[in-house]
Amino acid sequence: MLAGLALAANGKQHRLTLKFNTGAFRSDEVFDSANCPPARYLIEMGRRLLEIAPDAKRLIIGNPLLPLSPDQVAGWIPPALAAPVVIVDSKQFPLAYCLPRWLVEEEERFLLLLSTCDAGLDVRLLGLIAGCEAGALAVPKLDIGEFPISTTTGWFMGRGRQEMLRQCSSAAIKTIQRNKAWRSLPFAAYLPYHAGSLLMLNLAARQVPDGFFAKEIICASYRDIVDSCPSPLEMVPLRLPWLPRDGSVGELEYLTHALERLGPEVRDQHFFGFLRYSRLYNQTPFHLIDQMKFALGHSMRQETDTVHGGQPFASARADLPAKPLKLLFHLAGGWKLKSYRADRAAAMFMVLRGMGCEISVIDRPDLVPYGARLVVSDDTALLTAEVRAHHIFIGVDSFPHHFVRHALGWPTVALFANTKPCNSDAAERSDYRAVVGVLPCNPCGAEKECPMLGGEDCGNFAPPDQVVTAILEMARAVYGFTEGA
Amino acid sequence: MGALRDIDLGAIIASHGVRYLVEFGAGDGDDTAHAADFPFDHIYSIEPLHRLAIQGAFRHSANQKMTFIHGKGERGWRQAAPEIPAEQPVLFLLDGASFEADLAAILLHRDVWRDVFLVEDGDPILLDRVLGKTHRQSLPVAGLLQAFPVA
Repeated sequence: MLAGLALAANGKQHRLTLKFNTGAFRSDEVFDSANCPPARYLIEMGRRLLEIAPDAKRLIIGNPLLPLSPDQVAGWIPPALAAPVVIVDSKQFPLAYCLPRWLVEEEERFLLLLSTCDAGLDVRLLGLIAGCEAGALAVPKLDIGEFPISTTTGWFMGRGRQEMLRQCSSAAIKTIQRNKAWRSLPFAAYLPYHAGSLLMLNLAARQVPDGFFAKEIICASYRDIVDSCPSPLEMVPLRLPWLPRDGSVGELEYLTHALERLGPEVRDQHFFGFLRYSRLYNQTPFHLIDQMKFALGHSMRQETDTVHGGQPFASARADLPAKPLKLLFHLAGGWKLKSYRADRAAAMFMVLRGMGCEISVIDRPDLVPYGARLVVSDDTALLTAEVRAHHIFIGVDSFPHHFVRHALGWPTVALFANTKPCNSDAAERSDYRAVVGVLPCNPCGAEKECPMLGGEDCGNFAPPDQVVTAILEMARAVYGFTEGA
Repeated sequence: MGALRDIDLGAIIASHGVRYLVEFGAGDGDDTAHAADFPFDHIYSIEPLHRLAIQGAFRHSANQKMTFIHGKGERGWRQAAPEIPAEQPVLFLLDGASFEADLAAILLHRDVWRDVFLVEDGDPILLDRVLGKTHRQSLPVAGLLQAFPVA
């Protein structure tokens, strides 16, 4: 729940509560994105307050990290000042932000740089943005206590994330202090590692032409993805290997080195928006592309704004005779639990080959003995060439699936298991099917081992017969394929 | 690795005009750290083990003249190759265990007749078979085979 109120010149108050949207897109709901920094909600609340109170002079917006009500916020109204004020608890944790109207209307994007967890930084930042001394107002006898490291709902992912937000805010303060023309400097989205995230960011950015960001910080090794799926955001290459998935390096440590690696020229000429997850991305029903659109500045007010309610990014199909049906499988995801079991894949291949289908498989040499041709596709150009030589792509929840479906628009059968399809699938159509099991433990959030039964296999993949059925249905619908001779 | 300390890098740079160092199998960057004291325009360290690549990269993250790349042979080299001018000689530091595959990857993206090769624990006969027409080997130093351009 987000809370805010607008104050008109005559003292009239307009109070507003926004609940998190779970798919209904009601007028009193706000889009739920795990990919945005908390300050993005502050901006959204500002937009909505100005809608209901066009005559507002000041806005008081509760810290999006805290479960506050408008009545609480109303009890903290500071004296009428032109300057911004951060309302703080006894330990200087920001409780709410009192902002002059013009700051929200005219300098909205700079509010994205607020840490929302360090009042000292936020007062300095607001003062620099507003061009006057910002204030801090303590609420007597209120102490929110130790901020939780995490919550069961994944509401906010702890101290490490807070420190990362502080680093971005500190960097912004330095950038302002070092540049007279800082208001014209570009914002760069910090989302450097993981190919799938970059792909979804680039797709999202195409639909947010007037967003906060002009650039994106991306690991240099992903240049091929940017070439294959371009974005209006200019790439700022980060010359570091991407973050290992084995937990050996923390994201905070990585951010520290990333800022150092970017060097003073880049560091001092950009503002960095933290677009890595601030929360668990699978608590919301929305697609990651949609979560990123919100982070980039889109308000996401209706279903047609979303992947599932809108048009596909691309649509294409193979220019091949319907027979032999050529199938390209990608069955090894970035996590152990995303990989499809070899014995089940073997069963699928046996049936499909019996129907005369030709099977290719990416990066799974263990499946070659079952009649699959091994394909190596370690960049997007190679992957694209292989996809175009096949009728249908069948892939687990990993980069190739997202690229093939959203960037190439190719007929795709998606295999989900321990992740929620709605966060990373595509709209259901005759040329797109997502198949998943029915176990109630989805999404478990585990990566390496099943938390219920142990082992590296997820039991929630659809069984081979269901996958084969989905493939054949798509082949019939899209290519006119028939199983008979 | 770590054998680079026993090599007279200054003499190689002076004699062959190498401006770039490309190391395959960089480990956590010991050789790279040593080479950083020499006047290379850029040093590329290609390391297949992700953990080692990131350790090396963090160790040298402030040095803009060094780039650590995580990748096996050709995939790693593919990232570095376009950034190195064809006319600028390169010093390649290779590991004997994967030398043949790495050299094959290098030849896919570069004409190496000006370049210098150091190979740790390599097979001199194999090295001669691949580079014999354009390079001559000199005596190994500290376990490193050395192949210099003939021209």
